[in-house]
Amino acid sequence: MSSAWNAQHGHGLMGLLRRSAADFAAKPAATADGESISFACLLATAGGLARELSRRGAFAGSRVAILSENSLDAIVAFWGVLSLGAINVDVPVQLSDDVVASILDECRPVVILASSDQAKRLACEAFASELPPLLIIDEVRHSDRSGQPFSEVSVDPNDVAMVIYTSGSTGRPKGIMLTHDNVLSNITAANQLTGFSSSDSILIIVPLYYIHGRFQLLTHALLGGSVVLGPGMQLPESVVNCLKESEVTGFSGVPFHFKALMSRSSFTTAHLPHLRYLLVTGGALQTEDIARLNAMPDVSVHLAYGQTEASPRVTWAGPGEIAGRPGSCGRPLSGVIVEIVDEQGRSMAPGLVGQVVVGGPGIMRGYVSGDERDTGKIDDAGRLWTGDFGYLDEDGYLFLGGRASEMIKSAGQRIHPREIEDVINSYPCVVESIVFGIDDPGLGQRIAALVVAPREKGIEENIRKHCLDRLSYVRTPRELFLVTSLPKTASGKVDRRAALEVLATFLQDATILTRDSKNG
Amino acid sequence: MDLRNKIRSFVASVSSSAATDIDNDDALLDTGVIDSVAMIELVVWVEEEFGFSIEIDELTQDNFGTIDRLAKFIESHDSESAKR
Repeated sequence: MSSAWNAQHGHGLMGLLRRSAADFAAKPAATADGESISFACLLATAGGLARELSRRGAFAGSRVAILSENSLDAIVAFWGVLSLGAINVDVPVQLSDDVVASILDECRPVVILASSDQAKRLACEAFASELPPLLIIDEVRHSDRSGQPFSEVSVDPNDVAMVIYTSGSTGRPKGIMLTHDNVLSNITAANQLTGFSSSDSILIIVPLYYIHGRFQLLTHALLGGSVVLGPGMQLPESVVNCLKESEVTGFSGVPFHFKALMSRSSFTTAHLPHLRYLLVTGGALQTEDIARLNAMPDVSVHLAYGQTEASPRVTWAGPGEIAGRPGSCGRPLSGVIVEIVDEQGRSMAPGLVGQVVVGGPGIMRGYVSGDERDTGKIDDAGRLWTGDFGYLDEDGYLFLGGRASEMIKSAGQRIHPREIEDVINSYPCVVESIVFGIDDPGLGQRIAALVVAPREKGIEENIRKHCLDRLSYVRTPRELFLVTSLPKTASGKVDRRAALEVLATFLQDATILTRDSKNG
Repeated sequence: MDLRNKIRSFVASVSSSAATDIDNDDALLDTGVIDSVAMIELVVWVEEEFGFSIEIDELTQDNFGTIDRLAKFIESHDSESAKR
């Protein structure tokens, strides 16, 4: 490990909190449900948790899984794991029991940190009896009264700091391993563009266990800025009220959040004198919607494109930057290299459409499953093949259009058709199925399925219910059509293109065919 | 169909089986029975099914927090339109 790196970054990601605790000791690091925790208190409380983790057998470099809804406890848990120099494994608790069980089975944590609700869940039969030691965060958090941070642990910048599980090409979530340097390089480069400072603060409404939430948490630890955990989006006006009351300066969401806020709350007309920036990420917001956000007084709008595998930001567009380039998602962050390539990986000229390939210090160490090269996600040059299609203009601005893979993006969530097909196919009389994402004005894409099953009364509704019991609502097919068979290719595989034509006739929507061909 | 059962039936179509037995005064929003995407669908369903627009200040816990509250909210709109 270089001394220059240590001087610059302290001790990996943990250096961010240590520095903010030194510079802004009494300032709230995080607030939720009216309770705040200062940076100094967060550092000490995380230290107590690290000591308990150590007693339970965790150590620097070992994996500790966190299963928690958004809460101050979840934030303490994250920093507790990093205090120890251990690897934070984020488990998306919204996923079904068997998927969560498969994640725990793959990542093999030495200790599990859980909220009390998640601890109860782990007692069910879907989980193996030989789970590692389980700590309930709330209980541990309040048991250590020493008020002392954990002694500093040296980490190598290339050590894995965190694992984030997100939808992958196998239909099961992939564990994405990010190093300290991956994440530090990305949040530092992003902050060079935004110029945010310790006076900035943000309302977080997305789950902390995905990169979108982690990015917001870590950026504010870098800045010495406060985060406020907000309510869900069920009642959009409650988010507006929280923006008012918390007096945060920033808000970040996916297009679905902004659409819900614009259509079902006073967001664009409310008096929000402290709010000064919005960040739209996780999909494209229509130009007219961006214009509505831009019209909010004294609020600047930023757009970002990224993938968890890139830690996550790839391109960024600052306020006004895209006014003359509608549809662009900005230019690469400092140090990030974006290329448009053909199928052989050869670089293409500006204006030509190809796959977006990304290089630079943010590219993940790999998947927990170890198949990032076999699957072609990472090439021999260490570049990330995003699966997204697009082009760069002469000035280096990226324009996205279509996807090389079958991956679906709905309400900002990455969803592989296999995840849903596996669940549909597990319904007793289903022979096979195929799932597509079709354009949806509110969600970006919504799920539609063709299912081979006997034509029994109410079967479509029963299959949907079967999905709802095992998947979130976003992942449940909105449209589901019974067919007697699925079209096959000469090799006997399901012919996605021909199946989509069948779906288009059910939906009476020929336009989805042209979209799919564009998506390759 | 009774209004509360009609609402229950819709809620069941956007949430897991655990919600099938949901009582009229069980919380819909805080407990995750209805997530943010399903909530938007519920709002649109109420507007289309009962023929009125839901104003921003009506989208509250008081009106949507339980099946009972939502039924009362819909009934209040019915009685308003009956007066006109």
